[in-house]
Amino acid sequence: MKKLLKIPPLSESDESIRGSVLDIPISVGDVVNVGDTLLEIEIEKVTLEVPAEQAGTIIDISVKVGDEVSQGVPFATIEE
Amino acid sequence: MSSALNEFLAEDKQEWLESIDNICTSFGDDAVKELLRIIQDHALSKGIQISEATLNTPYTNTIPLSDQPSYPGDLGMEKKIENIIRWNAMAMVLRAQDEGTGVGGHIATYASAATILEVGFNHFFRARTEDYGGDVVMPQPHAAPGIYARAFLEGRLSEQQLYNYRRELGEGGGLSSYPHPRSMPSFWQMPNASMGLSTPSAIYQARFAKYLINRKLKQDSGGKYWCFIGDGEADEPEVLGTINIASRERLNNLVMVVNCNLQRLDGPVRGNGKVIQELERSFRGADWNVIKVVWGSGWDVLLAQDAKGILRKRMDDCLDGDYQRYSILPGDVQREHWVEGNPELEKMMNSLTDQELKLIKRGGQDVKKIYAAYLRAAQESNKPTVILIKTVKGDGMGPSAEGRNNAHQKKNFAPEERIQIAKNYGIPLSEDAAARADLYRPAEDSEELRYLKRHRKALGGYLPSREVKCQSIQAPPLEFFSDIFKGSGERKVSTTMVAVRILSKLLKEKDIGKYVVPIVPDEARTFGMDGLFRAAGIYSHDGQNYTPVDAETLTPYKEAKDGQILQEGICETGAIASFMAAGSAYAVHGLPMIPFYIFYSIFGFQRVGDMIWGCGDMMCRGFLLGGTAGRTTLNGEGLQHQDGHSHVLASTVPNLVSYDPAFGYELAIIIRDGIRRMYTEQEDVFYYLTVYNENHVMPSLPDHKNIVERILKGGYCYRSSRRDKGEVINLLSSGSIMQQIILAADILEELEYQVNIWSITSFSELHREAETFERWNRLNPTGPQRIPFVATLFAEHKGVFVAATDFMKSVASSIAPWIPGRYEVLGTDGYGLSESRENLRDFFEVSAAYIAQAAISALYREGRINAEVVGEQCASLDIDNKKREPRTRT
Repeated sequence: MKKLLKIPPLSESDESIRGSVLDIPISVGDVVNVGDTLLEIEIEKVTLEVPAEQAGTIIDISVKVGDEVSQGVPFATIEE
Repeated sequence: MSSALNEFLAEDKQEWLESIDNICTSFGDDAVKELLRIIQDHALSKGIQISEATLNTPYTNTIPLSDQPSYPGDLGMEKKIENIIRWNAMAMVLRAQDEGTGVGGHIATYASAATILEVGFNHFFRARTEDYGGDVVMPQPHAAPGIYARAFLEGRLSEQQLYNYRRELGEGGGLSSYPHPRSMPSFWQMPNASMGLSTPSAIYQARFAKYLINRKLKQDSGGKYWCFIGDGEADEPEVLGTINIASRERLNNLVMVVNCNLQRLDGPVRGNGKVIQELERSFRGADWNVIKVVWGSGWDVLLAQDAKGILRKRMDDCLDGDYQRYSILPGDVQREHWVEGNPELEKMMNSLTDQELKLIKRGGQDVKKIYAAYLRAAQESNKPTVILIKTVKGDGMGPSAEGRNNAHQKKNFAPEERIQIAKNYGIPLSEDAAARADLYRPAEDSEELRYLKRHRKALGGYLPSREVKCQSIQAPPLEFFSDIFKGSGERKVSTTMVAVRILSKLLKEKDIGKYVVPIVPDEARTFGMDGLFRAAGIYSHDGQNYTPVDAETLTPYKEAKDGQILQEGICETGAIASFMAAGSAYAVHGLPMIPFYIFYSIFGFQRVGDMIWGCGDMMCRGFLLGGTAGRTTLNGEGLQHQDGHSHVLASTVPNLVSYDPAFGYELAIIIRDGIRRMYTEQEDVFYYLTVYNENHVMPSLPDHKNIVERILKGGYCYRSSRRDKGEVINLLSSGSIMQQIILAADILEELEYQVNIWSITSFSELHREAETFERWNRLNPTGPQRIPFVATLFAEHKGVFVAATDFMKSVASSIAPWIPGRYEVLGTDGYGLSESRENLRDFFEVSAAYIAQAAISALYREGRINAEVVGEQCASLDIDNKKREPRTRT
């Protein structure tokens, strides 16, 4: 089953906060496990890692390094 | 107390007590506790203050005679051994005095502590073995002669070493005054100098042992931290200021023993009060297990007869100043004062002769009482324990010192006193030998030595003893940092962000990641470290029994029992004590833990400098990261926060390697090499790195020959002049001010000068190496002369030199002797102030304009340009050359 992966909350209290994609350590076709880092996002001085919440195969990546993202923005598709 | 109240209590007290006994018998301890709580709440609701009563127990031993275990040792033999140690501990100090070297020494502290230490050495302190984690024993520093004297009997120290006490350079080897692992690396486990720091050191060592166990890096095979301090020392704020964490973390592996001899250096600790009661309140309030050892066995019978509590009341009422006085009074005078005209008490005391009264011991002079307390402490299962033991300062030193206010300073005795003391101790030396203060060691096969050795063998071996058995680990290859070497592209980032990224990468590294220990004193968010919380977790003995408010975010405040980050709260002393514990884990636990302690740089050396010095003594390893560094880079925060001198202070620690990197790749190369030196090569150094919060583009690693080596040695040419004509200017910088140097270079190149930019990663390392070579050349003037790296670095470069940093001028000035031309140094001498970064840099004269002006000025003063050019070129820089010197701002 395919699932669209979205940017989780980046801040405790500000849904509008935006970060820039710093690194994408995955590629299409990669098999990932729960906890693997899918994306690194930089917000101000903090680097955040977006972890995989489910295992599966990455079949699409819809962001690139340098893109600005915020909570809820789709960034990849995973297939179980 | 009124007579009516006395009468009431006399009649009704027993009834109250019997009621409580009945409740206890019928419903158990909890019922009594609940009843007392109800009564207490009722009294409080009436406005009756009873805080003291709830925290204090009577001024008697915590362990009643009925619960006292039988003593497992040979009392007579142990007394003999103790007396020999007492004599030798005194003799080595006396010998040092007799030789007239003025090296000092103390006798009275060990005299008061001898019995409490001997019980520990004979029956409790266990060495590390295959199936036991090992105890760490931290005696009072002034008791060091006694520890040496014991090691002498054990055959671990020679007679010559004891005679060379406080003369470490003495022929045949000498002994350090106090416990210093650096001076005696196979002997002392922990540094200590009586200034209150052993308490946080012990607490955080005990806590770090739990951390290692909870992270499954260390077996839970036991091991206690025995920390002995003085009652006077407990006034140091680091003592009572750090005890709460011990109970919060349930450090049942920690036993503190407070030697309450009631005296500090100049006089009584609490002449008008009771230090034992005061400390009991503090430790009980902090939820420690408190055991008081106040009275020796001689009081047992009297206390058993004290049905009305008359004796206990007198014990409670009597002040420490009076107790101290009793230790010097003859029995009859003591009795008169003690009974205070109370006929019932007088009658009770009449069962003792004056001599017997005089000889009744305090708890700290009675091995049975001490043993009972230690045994209970060793068995305590869920709390740290403090044992408050009443002793006599200078016990056994005779009437000229025992209990006297000058006891601490007493370091010499007349020949006849020495002879008498030797006799009192039963030391079989001739009078001449006693007067000379000869050492005495029984024959190797004597009963005394066999007894002593047998007991140590049963406890796993000798203590204190420091044995390093730790595997080497490999630093990651340089390629591991390749993303950092690429630079940041167009992104502007700070060196702090790079440091956190390096830390994040190291935490994930497959071989060494588990050894990395991030430490922060409640400033993780300031340094952008909250991104590490989720992956690494914050260590918590209790795990996390609540849902954090930010649980749904990518940076949840995740506490975990196996968390890797030590979040120390607002406690710099605790944080540096954690660094000390982690940094010494290679020796204490045989684990190559790599602490990264990041803090506001100004709250490092000047706040906890003494602890950092102790880290150097203990040969700690790891990285101190001074964050938000730089007097002008940290803007707005003002005078208390803006650091422009931590590198000056860092340079005073001999084995601390300091760097002030400007770029991310420098930081990565330095950290990697630090891991190599400390954990692969096992060098006894540790690191201080300053990192900044100014964002700028991080360049990629330049493709220069030998750049890695030069970054590590302290400097390299970051950018050669882009011009081939014009007067030559060399600009030197480090840290964030490098950005101003680059701007200044642009200004100066516009003015048609040739400008070379030098990144000086460590003025300190350049200076130290140069000093080493200069020393060699001075001592060997006729041989081949050694040329320091700093001299070779600039040897081929002409022109003037200007250095600018965000630290005091003395930092960059330290390499002046090896600069081959006029050398102008700009720095941030003076108190910080609340202002914008731009204004701060103009104020402290380290902005690009001031740097350019300094270069132009230097060229003029070297006769390379004329006054007209200076006037023209400086006019555009908008420099106020009559402004007040920043250092003198009021």
